[in-house]
Amino acid sequence: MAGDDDSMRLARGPIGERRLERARRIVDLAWRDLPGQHRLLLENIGASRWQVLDRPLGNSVNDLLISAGYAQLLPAGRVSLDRALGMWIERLHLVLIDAGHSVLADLDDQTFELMLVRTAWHEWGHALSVVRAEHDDVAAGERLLDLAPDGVREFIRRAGYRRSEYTHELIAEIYALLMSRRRRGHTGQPPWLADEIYRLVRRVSGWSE
Amino acid sequence: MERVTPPQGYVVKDRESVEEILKVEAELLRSEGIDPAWPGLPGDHQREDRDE
Repeated sequence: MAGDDDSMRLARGPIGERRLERARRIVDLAWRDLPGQHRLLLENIGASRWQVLDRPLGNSVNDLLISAGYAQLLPAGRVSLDRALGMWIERLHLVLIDAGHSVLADLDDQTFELMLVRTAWHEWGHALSVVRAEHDDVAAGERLLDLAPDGVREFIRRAGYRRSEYTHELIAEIYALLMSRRRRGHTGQPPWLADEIYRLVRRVSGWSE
Repeated sequence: MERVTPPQGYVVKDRESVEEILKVEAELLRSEGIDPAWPGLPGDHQREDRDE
């Protein structure tokens, strides 16, 4: 029977050193594009280190946890993590991004770049949310999701997150969207974003623009 | 030995989900009159070289 690594190898091929180096460069530039105040905040909460890999995240996270002295992940947990493009492991103070994920394979250069930038911004927003959102914010996840733009709400629901992760995923998505908007020279509250969500993202991320 | 339960991560199930994410973002930007075309990242000389 094939192991997790073997089954993933069948579903994906190596992306090559050049594309992997390009992915690492893109994430580095995405970090530099964050407002300085956000970078400082991320450094302070231990979310300023990252690795861009060409490997499913389940086994990568498992190996890192074992090397740091934690128990290995359960096999079901590893398989589940393999579906992720990126994640922040709070305990290890590390963001991981899988540049070789099957959904990124064969994307044209610009779409590949867009998705990597988005993933990095999402993960940094997620880290800020996990550390800085309050219990009541997390408990209000279902209600906050109802206030989100339709497409964002549907994507989060379809992805199958636990309810306890709704608030973090929502903040992460909105943070990525605000950064994308800022990259195009627009700041302030977008007309499509509910006041309550905007206030929450500002409080959690320190967004002040 | 302590067992850690990491979050589920940024789950993008399939290629259709990638298209959906980018479509939603483009529609939101367009709805407020912002050109959704990706401007690239500052300092990305490799991209600038490619675009020339």
